[in-house]
Amino acid sequence: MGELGINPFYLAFQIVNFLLLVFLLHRLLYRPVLNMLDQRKERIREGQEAAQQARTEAEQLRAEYERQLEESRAHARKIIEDATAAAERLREESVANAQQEAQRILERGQEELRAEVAHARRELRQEVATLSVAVAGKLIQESLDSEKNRGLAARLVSDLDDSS
Amino acid sequence: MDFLEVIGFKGLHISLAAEPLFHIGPITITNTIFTAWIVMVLLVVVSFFATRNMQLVPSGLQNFAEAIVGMLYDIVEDVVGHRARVVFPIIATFFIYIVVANWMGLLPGFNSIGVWGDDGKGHEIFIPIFRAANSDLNMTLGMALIAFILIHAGGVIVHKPLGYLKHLAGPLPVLILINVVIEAFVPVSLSVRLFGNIFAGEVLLLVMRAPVVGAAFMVLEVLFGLIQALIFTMLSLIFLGIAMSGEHEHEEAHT
Repeated sequence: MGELGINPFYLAFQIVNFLLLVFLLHRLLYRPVLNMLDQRKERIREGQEAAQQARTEAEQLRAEYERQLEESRAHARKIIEDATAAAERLREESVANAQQEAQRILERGQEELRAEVAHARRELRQEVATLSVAVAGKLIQESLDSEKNRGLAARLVSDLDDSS
Repeated sequence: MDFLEVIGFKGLHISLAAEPLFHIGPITITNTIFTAWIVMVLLVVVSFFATRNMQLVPSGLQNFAEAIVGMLYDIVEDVVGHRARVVFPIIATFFIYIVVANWMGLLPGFNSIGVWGDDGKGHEIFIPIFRAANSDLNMTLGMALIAFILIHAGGVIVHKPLGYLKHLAGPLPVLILINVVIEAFVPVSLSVRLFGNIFAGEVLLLVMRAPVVGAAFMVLEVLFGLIQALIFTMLSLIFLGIAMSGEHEHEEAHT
């Protein structure tokens, strides 16, 4: 044993030495590192769970938004349809009003025209009667009583009316 | 023991036993104990800085420490399951300590820087200041005895004393004698294998100290240093796993 260098004292010395190293490394290396590995594993697991949850929530939210969007679209479509219908009605109303107005203006115009024509005719008739008297007086060179004159003139005018 | 003179290297000297280096009071400190202390201080300092300010997002030294500890822990957990946390410090220290000690023994200055002194028996010998810690049987046998106690303490704790006796007996009670001999030789084989490899590596590097050739052997020794650490650690762990497991796996592992 001596030749091999085995010595009970050194053997015990090295065993104590080594156990001291085990203790020191346990305190300084293994425990903190293994705790950290556990902690990280836990953190990663939590992170994955949180991510999974967030994804589920996001999907729910997306479905909700899509539903809301679809609702809004339908709503908008309805508003546009209503507005189109209202506009159409309004247009038809204004067209009808305008036509009525135009009709009324036209009628009034025609009426005025007729009154004007009647007036003109009446005046013309008087003018013609006066002129006829003057012409007849000139032609006959003779004074007739006013009663005969008027009868002549009236016959002349009605003849003119008939012939015109 | 003058190996090298026997095989024709006159003037070279390497002793199986560790040489006494200095004294602290009545205690004589050998060069392998001195180197073991250097390894210990190095490991403790590196561990301290690696875990001084642990971050959830690791970087630098912490990353390195986590990679090594995590890898070792996975291996231990594979073998002993939920009891990994208890035995892990010893198993992991086997690996880390042996591999660092082996590689440190390859540094320049090991076995070459030294003083001439007394070997304790009145002979004038060359005493290297630095000598690989595992080239001392006291070191390797010490660790092997720790492994031995760990293995059987684990077996006794898992199976209870009587159950562990049955476990050792296996299928036939007569086998208990054979099994006890086998178990008793586990620490011997563990310690001598490690010691032999590292000691032989030192002798080899001393003999093959030519340029290029020396470098080639140096590469081999780096590999052996790692392999021996793995063998020692894995064997201790596997024997521990067997001691803690049921009979069935015990049979399988021995075949």
